Amino acid sequence: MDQESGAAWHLAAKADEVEDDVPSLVQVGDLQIALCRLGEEFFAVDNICTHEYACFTDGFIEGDEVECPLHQARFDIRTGKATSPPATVDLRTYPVKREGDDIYVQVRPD
Amino acid sequence: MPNDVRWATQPYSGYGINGPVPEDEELTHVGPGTPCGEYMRRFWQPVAMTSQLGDLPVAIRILGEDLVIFRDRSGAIGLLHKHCAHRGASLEFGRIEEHGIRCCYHGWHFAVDGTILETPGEPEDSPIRQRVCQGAYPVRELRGLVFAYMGPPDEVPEFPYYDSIDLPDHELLPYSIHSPCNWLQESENSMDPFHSVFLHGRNAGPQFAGLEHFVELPVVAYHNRPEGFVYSHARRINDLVMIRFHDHVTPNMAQNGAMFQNLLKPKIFGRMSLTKWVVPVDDTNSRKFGWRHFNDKDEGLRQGTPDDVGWEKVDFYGQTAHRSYDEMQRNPGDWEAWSSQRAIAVHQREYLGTTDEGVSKLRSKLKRDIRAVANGKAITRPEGTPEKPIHTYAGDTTLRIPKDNMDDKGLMDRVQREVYEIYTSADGYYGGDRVEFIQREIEARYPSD
Repeated sequence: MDQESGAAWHLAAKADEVEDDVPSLVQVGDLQIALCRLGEEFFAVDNICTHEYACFTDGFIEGDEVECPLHQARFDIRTGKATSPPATVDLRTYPVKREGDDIYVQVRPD
Repeated sequence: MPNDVRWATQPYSGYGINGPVPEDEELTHVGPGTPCGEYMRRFWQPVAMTSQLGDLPVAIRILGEDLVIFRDRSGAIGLLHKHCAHRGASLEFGRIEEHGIRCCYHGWHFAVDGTILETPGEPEDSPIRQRVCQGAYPVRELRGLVFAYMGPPDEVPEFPYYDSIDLPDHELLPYSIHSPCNWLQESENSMDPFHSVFLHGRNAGPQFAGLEHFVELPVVAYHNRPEGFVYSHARRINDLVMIRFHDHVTPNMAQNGAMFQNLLKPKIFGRMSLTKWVVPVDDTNSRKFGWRHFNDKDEGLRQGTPDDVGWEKVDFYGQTAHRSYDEMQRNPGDWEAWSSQRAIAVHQREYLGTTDEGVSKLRSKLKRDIRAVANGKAITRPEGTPEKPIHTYAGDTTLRIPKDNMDDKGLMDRVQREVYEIYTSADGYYGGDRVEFIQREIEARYPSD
């Protein structure tokens, strides 16, 4: 726990369980996070599309972007930026750290 | 692609969306060398009905390839490239021999595996026979259907044997129906439990005896599996919760629940009425091959007979082109729906909603598996033998559970997930043992009295 901000690190997955073509679901309370793998790097973004309700864990990873399965909106996995319509609002991103085989995601309370 | 090219976003703005929008080639094009075509060639696919195989060869088209299929006089089935390896004349005009087929043009004689047995116009010591073969594919005949494997010859998988092939009280009747459209949109129909509410229920009245409750919107639960999906949809009638399970084995096999049955009483682990594959003929034509399961024990509402099931026919509404245009307009069925989504449905033009979760899950999985094959990675294929067949789950369970006045949808969601867990907890058992285990566990969890 970061005493200053209240942000906590949550154990999200084992590194070898995260596939490179589809995000893994990380559930923190009611919050759904999509954990994405780009080579040996890991990134975390919101799992729900900013356009309409759909989960990226039902979609797939295309290059450095995640594509929504409903309307093909795309977002940069590293920055959360909306890169292709119909979405115009960026995704939230979450800090990720790796300790050995364990991947952690940091979530701050709202 | 900007939104206003894909969809009209203002009233009276059809003009703005007249530009061309391409189909998703990766998921829809199936010819040799295409990503989806390569993927589909990794699976055994039904390609003909055995009833087609008489004393003449039959020209067919599968996955964009022109082929000829025949049964030689010894009883063996051959599936060969249509154009003769010699000068390209079609073997549909060939002569069936005791073993294999002989081209009409210059008499070259091919075995069912494509080996050249004779080149009668050539010198006796001609080396042609040792140098060349006719293109051929391995086949397997089962319950009135002929399956073929059209992929790399060094990667032939075991023939996948499903539990639904040998069910007690089920008679399997083969059938086959053409649709003038791409395979995927027809296959997606089986991953869409919501179309039943409208197309089969509310639009022109219930189309299927025993399934009148489909007019109600269901509560749906999807389960991802390595070889595809199982999903269920639940509805309530008084104190009964009616749960229907479907199998969808990627790329293109599906099974659904009961037809022509009275489901308005408790029932545990009823089984499927259909086992079917949507096989691409080419990019803009598909052919369904399947078995209708006649189940005399349970199908008390059935009117059809075995004569109503076969080539271009099946004994339930709306599956073929063979109705008047007037009837199609007044009471359209599945065939009108999928055939009219354009020759190849354009996904970029669609606006998917919450009812399309199954369709979007299917497309995403297909895309991942197509790319895995393209990148030389392993994909999961169903594996099973007659002794230990592949477990499937399609069918109906109806339970007597009082309504939860606070959150009945939540209750139905929970119950159908628990039933699925019980189904899969029996995966270590086979045949009657599996059925008994499931019935005992569900009875214990949801006593019928």
